Amino acid sequence: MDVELAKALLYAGSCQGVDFAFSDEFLVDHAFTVPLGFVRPEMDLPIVPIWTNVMAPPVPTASRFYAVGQALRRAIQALPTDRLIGVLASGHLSIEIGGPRPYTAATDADFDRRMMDLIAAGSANTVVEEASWERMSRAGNLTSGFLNYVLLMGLAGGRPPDLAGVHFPLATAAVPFMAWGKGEA
Amino acid sequence: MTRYALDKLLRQVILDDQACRAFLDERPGVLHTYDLSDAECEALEALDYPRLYVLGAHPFLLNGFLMRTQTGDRASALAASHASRCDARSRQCGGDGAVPARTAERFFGSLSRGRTLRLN
Repeated sequence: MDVELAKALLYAGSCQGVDFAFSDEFLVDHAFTVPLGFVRPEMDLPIVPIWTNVMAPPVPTASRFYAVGQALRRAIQALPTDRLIGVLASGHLSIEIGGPRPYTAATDADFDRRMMDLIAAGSANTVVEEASWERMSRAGNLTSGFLNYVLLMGLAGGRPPDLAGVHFPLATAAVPFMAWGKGEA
Repeated sequence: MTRYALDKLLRQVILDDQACRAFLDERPGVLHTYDLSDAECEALEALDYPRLYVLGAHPFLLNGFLMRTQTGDRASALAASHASRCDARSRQCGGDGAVPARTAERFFGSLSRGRTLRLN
């Protein structure tokens, strides 16, 4: 955990219109450890966990997630450091957990394909417009975890990802991925 | 405010082994220590997961609670019809999780209690 960077982001966030809260006690869960385990199994790089509320109503709107992504980009750019900073986000497409349609294949493949097409095309405005709470809830009761991808789009400044794709397993939710390389958007 | 107590109880059972054992062994005594509605107590007493869902339990907590309190084949409870889903707007606004009576009726009417699904 890079406490100094966390503090710097906390203050930089305020200047960029996002007043992040913080905690001195934070238990990282699978949302953090699983993607880290894939990307950096050595777990030897300092991190700053940023937690977003995607599942405890009232969940912020897609436009807010996009704006926070934009602000985070500006905050990172404003940091007085020449270190290379990567941003890793976890989320998902349509998914139902603890509801009437648990543990099935993608609960709304149409939603999944539509959103992945829009993300691949860099159509951030349309994603923000279509990823409403109502639409996401129809796709699956906890689909709102999708909003972390909207934040990433904001962070990328609307630039289409260099790499994007989705896999549809037979018995679990879709597995999407997207990546933006280093560079100015 | 009872939905908060309900979610809190579910969370305790998920995270705390002792709380989980106490809940499974002495349910009435444990329920008494939370500020729950009669409907919530009845649903918890009966481990009636769909009812807890309709009453507004957070689905993520309910999922963990189900895994902690069911062994072997899990109940068909959560595999009820799509019509059972709570109104998205009422959940988003943090209401009491109430659903229109007609929806609830379809929910229970469509529930096949004898059927079990292997969920893992």
